[in-house]
Amino acid sequence: MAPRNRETLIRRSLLLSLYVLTFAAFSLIGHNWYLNRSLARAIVEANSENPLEYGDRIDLNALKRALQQTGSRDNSNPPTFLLLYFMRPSHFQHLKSIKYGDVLLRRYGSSGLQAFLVTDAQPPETQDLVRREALSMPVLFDRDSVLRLLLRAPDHYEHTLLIAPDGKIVFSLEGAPSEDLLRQIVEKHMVGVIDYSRDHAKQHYRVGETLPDIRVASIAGGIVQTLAPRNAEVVLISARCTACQLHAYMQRYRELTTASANGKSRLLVFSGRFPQQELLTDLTEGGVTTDNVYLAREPLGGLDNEYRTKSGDAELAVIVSVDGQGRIESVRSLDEVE
Amino acid sequence: MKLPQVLISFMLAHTFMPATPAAAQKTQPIPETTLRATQVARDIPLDQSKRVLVGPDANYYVLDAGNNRIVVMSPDWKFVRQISAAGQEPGALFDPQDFALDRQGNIFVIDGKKRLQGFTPTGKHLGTITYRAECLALAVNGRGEYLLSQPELGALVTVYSPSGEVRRSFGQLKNGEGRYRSVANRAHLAVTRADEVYVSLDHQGILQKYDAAGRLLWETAIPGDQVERLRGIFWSDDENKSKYGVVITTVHSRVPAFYVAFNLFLDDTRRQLYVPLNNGSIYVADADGKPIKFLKQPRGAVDFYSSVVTDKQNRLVATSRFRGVLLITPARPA
Repeated sequence: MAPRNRETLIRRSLLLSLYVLTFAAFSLIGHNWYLNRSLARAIVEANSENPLEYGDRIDLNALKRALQQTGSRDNSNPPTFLLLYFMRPSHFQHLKSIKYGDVLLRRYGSSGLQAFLVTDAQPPETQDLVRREALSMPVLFDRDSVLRLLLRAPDHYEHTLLIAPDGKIVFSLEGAPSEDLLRQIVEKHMVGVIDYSRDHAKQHYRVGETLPDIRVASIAGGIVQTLAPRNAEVVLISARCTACQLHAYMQRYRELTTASANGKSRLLVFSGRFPQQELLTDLTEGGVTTDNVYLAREPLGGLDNEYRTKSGDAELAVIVSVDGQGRIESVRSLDEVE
Repeated sequence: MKLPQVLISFMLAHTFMPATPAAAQKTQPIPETTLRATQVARDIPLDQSKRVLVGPDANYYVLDAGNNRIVVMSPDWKFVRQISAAGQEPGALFDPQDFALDRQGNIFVIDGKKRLQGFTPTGKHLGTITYRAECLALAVNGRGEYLLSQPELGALVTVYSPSGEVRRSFGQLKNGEGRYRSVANRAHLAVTRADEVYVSLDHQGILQKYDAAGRLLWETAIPGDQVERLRGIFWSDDENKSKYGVVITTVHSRVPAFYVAFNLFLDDTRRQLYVPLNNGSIYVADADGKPIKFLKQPRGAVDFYSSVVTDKQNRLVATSRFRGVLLITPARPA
């Protein structure tokens, strides 16, 4: 090929590439412009004092766009149930519920649930929270309040939404719901059936069997140790309502830690769902000797269930008596009034 | 809170505590009976049962609040059916607070979405009306009117027509200032066959009776040192009242309010009132408000009865926050 022809070919190729790139750039800008415009329109249409209610619908394209703008990398197809917790790190009162979002995500993530924490707090502040609470749920930084405005969440960022795959709001609440209420709502909409069944601690601890070792830590803190009680009475305490159980039963805990157990040592093991600091403070102030009081570091069989938080412990607490070989001699309910 | 602070708090509370009705001042020893509570229907999962009522069909209707449903059980404690389930759509329940039965056995439930919903005894949704003020208790009268405890609206009881319009209100608010005024005047209600209304103020331990037109007939405070102590806790500025018993903090009010009395049940046949208290006992009075007895738990027992009812076999049945449904019998003769 002659040099002149080659030059012409190169020039034409470059020109063509330029056309293609220009077209692509304009397409992208135009597309973004269109999407941003549709998102802006959706936000304007969403502009209302009233929060979204059950049955309201969301423009799914606008929602997807808003999620992407705030950092979601999700491109899932088909669409999924979307659980959104609006919060700021200072809303510590909602943390229990938000941590439960992680539990739901682990259980239903593969069958179509996405969960996000949406916040307008600065990323370092949020990262602190995520690290401290070991949250695995993705966090969306709603810097320009795009999600908040689109989903009509209050400007104080305390709101929870569950959105069905078709954009229908199936749950909307200012604040964060209790764990068990959220479980019921998610089961109803995702599984179709609410599970009301309940575990019984007495079915887990059977007379004649060996009491399994329990991983615990002293309630004053410290390293995790394995409790393998012998010739002892072990009081296993669930956490259905941590605050009320703690306060209402204080006298009982005091009696249990001071009264004799027929020559056996008596150990109190609280569910790991009790807040450690509050437990320690309240027991100490309540005059309970804390030498033999522990916080479980694993679920207590039949008493604890991280998914069905209210399902365990029909008995609230059980006293398991073990012999010198660690075999269970008896299992009694603490709260049975006979 | 340290002991001196508690003492100061109590002294302040008793100094500034509003005066209770005169009847309470003349306290006389009231008989006490130790009760025995036996858990029944153990195979039916219940969570935070708030109220039990007996329907015209003799079945028990239990507001299983934690499970957002009403559980119907037979007189021998077998599961019959459930009414509604958790949700925010019409016909579903979201954080139900209280319920009532009308004379036909229809069920009316109020929930955390400020809705009053009706259901047939078999669970068919009859309809929904919405209201604007917080409401934690209701009753239904013989005219099909709904009586709601909504002190935020300026009276103890607001009466709604069957279609949801406010018809009238009655009962003067007692004590409390600012946002505490509404909280202090929350009440539970009971209606007689003649549509007279009994009111039990949840946080003040006061009983009242109104005629069908809403005129106050009498008022009395639940007597006894222990009840006085509960009142003192409600009015005190102690920051952690849950140490002494059950406290309610609603999203609407955000005021932690210590209960004195949880509920009110009228046995219209035997003309007796039953009021479960926040010390685990049950106060029994006659229909004129005169004290009959306290039913007390044995020493060391810990439970709070959210409601009580007498059934068609004259058994006393209670609901407990954690233990579901309980049969209450005397532990030893009075």
